[in-house]
Amino acid sequence: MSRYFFYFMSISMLIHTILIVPRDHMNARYDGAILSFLIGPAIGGVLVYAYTRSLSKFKGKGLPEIAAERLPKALSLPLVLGAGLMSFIAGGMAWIHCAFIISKYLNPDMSPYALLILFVIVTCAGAVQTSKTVLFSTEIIYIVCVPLLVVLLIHGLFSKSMNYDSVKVMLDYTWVMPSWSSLSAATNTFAGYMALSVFNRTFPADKQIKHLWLIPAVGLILELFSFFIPIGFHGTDGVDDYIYTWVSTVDAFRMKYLLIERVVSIYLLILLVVTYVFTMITWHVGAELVTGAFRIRPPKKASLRTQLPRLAVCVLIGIGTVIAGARFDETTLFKASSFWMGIRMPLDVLIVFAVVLLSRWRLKA
Amino acid sequence: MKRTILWMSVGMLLLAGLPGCGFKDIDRRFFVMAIGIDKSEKPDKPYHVSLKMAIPFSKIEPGKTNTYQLVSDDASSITEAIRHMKSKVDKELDFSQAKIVVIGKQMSAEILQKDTLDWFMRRRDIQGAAYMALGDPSAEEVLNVKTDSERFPGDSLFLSFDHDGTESSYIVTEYLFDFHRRVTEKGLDPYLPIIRPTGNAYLIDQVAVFDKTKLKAVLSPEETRIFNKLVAKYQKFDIETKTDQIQFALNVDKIKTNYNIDTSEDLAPVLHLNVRMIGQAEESSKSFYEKPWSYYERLAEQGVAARYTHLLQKLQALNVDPIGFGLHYCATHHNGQQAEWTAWETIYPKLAFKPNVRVEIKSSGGVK
Repeated sequence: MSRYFFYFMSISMLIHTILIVPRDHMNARYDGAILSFLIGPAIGGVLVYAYTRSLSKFKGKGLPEIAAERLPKALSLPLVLGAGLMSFIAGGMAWIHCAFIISKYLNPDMSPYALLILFVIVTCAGAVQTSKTVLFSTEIIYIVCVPLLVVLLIHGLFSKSMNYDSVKVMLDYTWVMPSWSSLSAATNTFAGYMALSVFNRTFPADKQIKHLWLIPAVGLILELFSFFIPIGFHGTDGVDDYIYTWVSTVDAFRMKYLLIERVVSIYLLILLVVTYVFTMITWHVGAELVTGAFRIRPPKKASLRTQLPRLAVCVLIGIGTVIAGARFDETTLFKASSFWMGIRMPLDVLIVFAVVLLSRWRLKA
Repeated sequence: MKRTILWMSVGMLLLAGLPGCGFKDIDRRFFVMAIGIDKSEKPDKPYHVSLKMAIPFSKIEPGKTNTYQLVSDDASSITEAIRHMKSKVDKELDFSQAKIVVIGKQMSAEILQKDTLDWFMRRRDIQGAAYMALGDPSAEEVLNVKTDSERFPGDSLFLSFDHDGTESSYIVTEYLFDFHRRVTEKGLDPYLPIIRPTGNAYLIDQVAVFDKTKLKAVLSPEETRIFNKLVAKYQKFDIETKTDQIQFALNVDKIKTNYNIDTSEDLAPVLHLNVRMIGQAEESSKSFYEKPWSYYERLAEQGVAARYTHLLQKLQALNVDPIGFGLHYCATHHNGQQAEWTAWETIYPKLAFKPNVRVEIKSSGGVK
């Protein structure tokens, strides 16, 4: 089962590196973005290790059960509820970003809000499924989409248009201390492990998740690729002119012998699907945590009636997402998402710390 | 069971509420194949924009299905010109197939100022990988050429530039995103290939080099070929060697180039350019077996090295750097980008070029 852990971890890493983070890092490219790629995976790796190892001590239990068992209600409720809401916000942010991109490049005649409403409906339907269904569908979509994305990355690396001199010029700025926003952006790439708070229920506890070192290694490589390929294509200064760095970079690719010469249309579709999977996971986790905080446990056999509380939470958050999407324009969206990442990182550390403590002591008699 | 049917029919009804517009049928669209920007004579409407639009056919036939409609308009900005052009045609303009942007030679100074390029970068439907070229005498005349071999309008230009059809060492390719990079990047200057219409065909054998503000010079066809090797890392080449004793031509199909900038002596910085070419003989006035091949290789090397030096010195005299030596210098030295750049600006004018060419002949062709 532990391969599923790698699926949702890498989906989260991909979404962050190609959708949410590039703008932050491009803005900070002279101000410590590169060093943050080294520090971020280190912090992220430690958090992932601590979280998975402490959760593996609880056989088949999620964060709500653990907190209910070992903490007084006054502490367990805010912990679980907070973790759930954070998961929801991460997914909602990704959808708003994606809706803006799709309405700008793929379907300009449709308003982003209409798109967002459709996206949110589909995600709600996906998120209220059982944990196992969510994991299985993640696997299917992962196998279809991720190889294509990897092909695009490799194409970028070996393209004739990729100018490695620009990349080397950037190395002058390696030892600049990173700002909080670029550091938190680099660390947030690894935030996918939070999904384990729910999926730990489905993982058999007698087996530990192996090859954990892969997570920081792959994350580091993805972050470096997603930062340096656009710079190699658009130049050290020119890259700043683009808003959605990766869409513009893929727009510069031409793969003559692929189905469609202009790969950006394929890329946008993959992006849409991967964002869907990401939000499905995060909202599923969010719904389970929020309902779990109020002692609603997942049923043995899911039906419409048993899933109703989860659906209600998802719909509520969905409406919130659409309203937020309608109020944001591009500049405020980017500001909001880097602000969000800045406060999310310490909160993540707090949750991991709490779980590590819980795995050793119990506060409740 | 009944309930499922009820839910399904409700779902079907909801589908009816989806908006049906937002998409125009393919026969209500004009596909713009090429965009041309010229300078007009009117001072208040400086942009003369031309669009080459394909007329769709059901069956593709070379030389017959490449009919097109050329529409042009003068306006104070590109956007305005396009808006006004929409009143001249009966279908929706679709830019998603526009694979080439041709700039009129008169316009070459303006294209480097950002507001002209801006329109292309800002529009979502102009592809970043579109080709760019300079039209001589004007972009409109380039667009107005109809070659007999085309399958659809503009096809022959696309084939020439992506080296999918003809593989000519004279044709230098430039992309829109690359041009934008070169306009902004320090130590990497822009260039554009020049298209000259000749009746019902094109001649693309020159390249224009720019500094960051204006067109500096047009390179001759012979210089363009060397330029193509250095800038676009183009692999095909042929070497003509002529001495009193022998005249022969080599066809090169593999070129490896690398260079390093040696600044160990402050007053005399040197650029070592190492070129390795592998090819075979194509034409010779004498039998190739009279002397060892290394003799001919040395002869060819001298000629090629002289041509490289000539081009590099010419670019140096113009103070342009399309090959990216400046960027390479900044990339290989690490003491702050600003300091490197000021150092490079003093180095480049006094840089000496030492091309070290190695030619390897692997066969003399079908005869001795």
